[in-house]
Amino acid sequence: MKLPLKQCQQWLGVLWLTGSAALFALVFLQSTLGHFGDNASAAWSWLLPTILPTASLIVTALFKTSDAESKTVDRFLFRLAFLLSLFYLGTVVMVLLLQPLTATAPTDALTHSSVYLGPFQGLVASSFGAFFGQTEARSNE
Amino acid sequence: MFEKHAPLKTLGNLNDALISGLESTGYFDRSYYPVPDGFALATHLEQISADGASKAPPARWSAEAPRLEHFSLSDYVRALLTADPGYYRVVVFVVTDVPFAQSGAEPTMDQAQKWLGGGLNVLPASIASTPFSPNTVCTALIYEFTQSESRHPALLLPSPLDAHTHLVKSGLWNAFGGNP
Repeated sequence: MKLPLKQCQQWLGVLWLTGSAALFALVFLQSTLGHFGDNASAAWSWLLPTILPTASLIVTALFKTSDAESKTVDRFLFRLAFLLSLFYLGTVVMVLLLQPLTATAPTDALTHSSVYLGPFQGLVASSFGAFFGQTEARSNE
Repeated sequence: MFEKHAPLKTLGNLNDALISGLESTGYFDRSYYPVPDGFALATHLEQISADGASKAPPARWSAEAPRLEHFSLSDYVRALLTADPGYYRVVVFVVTDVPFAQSGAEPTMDQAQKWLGGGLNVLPASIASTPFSPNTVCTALIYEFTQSESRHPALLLPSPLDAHTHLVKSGLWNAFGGNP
């Protein structure tokens, strides 16, 4: 079953922009209020590579895909990309929200999370690749 | 102070008074070191609040970074957004009639933790039987440490709290019969 590409891109765009904005706001508040002490730069060094590459990809696709209104995309691939994105952003948020409940220092918690967030981000990017690749293939048919 | 334990005839009597006050406020672990004409008694490193009050066990005796003791939304939001440095304290009572000055060396928190295990478990009888002289003074040396994000534990020098506040907040001042 097919879904309109434009609508799918908008859903993904809303998800990533909302999630990125929430994460940015949270880390901004934490670094401003001294949660990371002298290590605020470490928090930003963790956050920006965690969300910006994929968020940038979505925004670029949102504005640069020509004839998006006339194209369709496989529903399964859209759902896969959306759910993986949702789970990934949720995991990133939980890294920040759960840290106060543990005895781990804030920047240590961020560093430890890179172990699993890195491969996870790769998986999300792969799902995006399949999503956009499949779209182009369909539009050529 | 210690009037309720009078008469103090020997250093052993003063040690008994110290133990009584310490145990009534939860300090059951201690370690003794001989000093000229007296002894030093080191307490267990304890975690305290910023105001000097002892935390409730088990956090009190943990050197781990602090976490939320009792979950509440306001405490959680504060811990989420702001720094929550840990504060730690070791009290060393020095009982002697020999005047002394501090060396100026700043002990680390690791060293202070080891004071408990490095001394004697009881006051030696030879010291306990030493007569209590009018010049004998019991001095409380209070070492406060803080451990904030990204930093190693460091001695707070000077401590934002004075020694009297530390003793009052720990309950020791009252336990020793100090005037309010």
